[in-house]
Amino acid sequence: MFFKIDGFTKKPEIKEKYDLVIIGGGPAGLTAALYGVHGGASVLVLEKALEGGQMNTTDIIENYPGFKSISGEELSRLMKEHAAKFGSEFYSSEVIGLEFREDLILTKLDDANTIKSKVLIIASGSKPKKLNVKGENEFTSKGVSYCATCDGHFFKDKKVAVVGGGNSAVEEAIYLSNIAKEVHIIHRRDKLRADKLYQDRAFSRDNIKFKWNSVVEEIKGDLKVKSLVIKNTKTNEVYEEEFDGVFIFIGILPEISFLPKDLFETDEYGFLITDENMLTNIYRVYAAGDVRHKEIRQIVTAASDGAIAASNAIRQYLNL
Amino acid sequence: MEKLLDRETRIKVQEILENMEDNVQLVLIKGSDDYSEILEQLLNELKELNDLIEVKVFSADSFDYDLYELDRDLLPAMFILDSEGIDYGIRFYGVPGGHEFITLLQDILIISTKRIIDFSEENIEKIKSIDQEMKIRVFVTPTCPYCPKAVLAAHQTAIINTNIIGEMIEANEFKDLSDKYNVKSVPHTVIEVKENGVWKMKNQFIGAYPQNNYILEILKAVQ
Repeated sequence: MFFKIDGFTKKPEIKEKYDLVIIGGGPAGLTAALYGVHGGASVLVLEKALEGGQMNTTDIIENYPGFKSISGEELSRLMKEHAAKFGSEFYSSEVIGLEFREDLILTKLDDANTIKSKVLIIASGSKPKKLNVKGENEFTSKGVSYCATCDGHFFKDKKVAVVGGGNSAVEEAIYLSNIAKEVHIIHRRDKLRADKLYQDRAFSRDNIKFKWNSVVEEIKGDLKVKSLVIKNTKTNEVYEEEFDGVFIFIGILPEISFLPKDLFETDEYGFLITDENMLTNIYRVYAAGDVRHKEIRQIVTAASDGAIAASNAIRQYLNL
Repeated sequence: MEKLLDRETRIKVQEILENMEDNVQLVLIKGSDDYSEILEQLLNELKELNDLIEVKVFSADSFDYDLYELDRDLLPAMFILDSEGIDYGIRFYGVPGGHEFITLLQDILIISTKRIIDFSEENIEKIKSIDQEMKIRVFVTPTCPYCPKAVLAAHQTAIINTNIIGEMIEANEFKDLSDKYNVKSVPHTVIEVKENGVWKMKNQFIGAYPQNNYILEILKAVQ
């Protein structure tokens, strides 16, 4: 039994105007906040759920420099405390709209507040990509899950599938193998894309099994998931196998629901395109972290984006 | 007996509770299970950290269920009364451990200071407009970082409108009930409305919703 008090927030008073408003309190946003306050800016971080973002649902982090092994929750807490220590302010709310004026950006919140800022950094992160197969929506949260640390509990001694072959899929499979009886990694290729460290760990677990060259074609069940229809893409064999749950980690999509349509330059999936200073095509608006179009999405690269965005904003627009 | 809250946590909790203004009563109804023992110990440890906290413990047979709207089948059960003994409809079924501990502290502060910490004026009016008896049942697990937001929303909704009860239900402790509602992801919110004396499920949703969407889901249940 453990008792956490890190999320304690008294709804703070917020000002009407800041030099820098940051949407999203993940590693990109928190690092931008740190560099912003270090540069002398007044900074507000808007977070709709929990500071730390997806780090919170990461069991163990072993590739953030300086920490050989740290829980995602702990790193989240430390990053928030670090930015707060130097004066960054935090507010728990969801952004529902943006308005761009000549020298000001208005950020509209779901609690009816509107905040003005000279610069905006979008660090809103990403959301899981769906498989887009029959049964997925119907059984979401009825055995279909996108978060092992959240929902793994419900599959104690059960048989679950993990779809995907990247770092997230393999890390979450390892986490689930401590709870579930059997974990089957279903991957469309014949080898994993995950880092070797995670691969070795997965291969060493007796209760992690692999279905190579395989795709899920349908998720079946009654009130909850009962089975998966799986196709072997090499042999074209299609079969149905019983599973109690399926965890899907096949990639991400940008979290950009609050952005005005067609105003921002994005790639085909909606990830924001920036220059090397993290500046988007909109004056005084930066993007940092997972929401940005880029190759490598790691905590350390998100932090790096945030540092670059805030530092550039201070030099270019804030002249502090 | 070993403390549940370590020294560092106790110091931080004490700092948070310094913001209390009025007395609150934490009322616990115990079963004969381990969770009941843990929750009793937790409440007593909180009491030691601030004099404004009172703890009252009942066994299921000695508690007068006619006085309060409580689910008799779920033990341990806990609720919070203000200094006048007024019940605001806040319910905890099971131990608010892990991330959920923060919700208990937030609730204590809200009841003690009578200050709602979320919701816009417009949304408060919408909540007040609900004239049917409603139960907002939020299933959680201690390891779910998004759950406290959903529970706090339910509890604050209950505080705003006396027709409404806001419940935290620890899904691991109450497996049968979780299965009944087919809880497989948390936070899982079930909204029930009393019709002709019987509770009927009217809506359910999964996840910690942003404020406006949350209010929409609540209002759907009475449309």
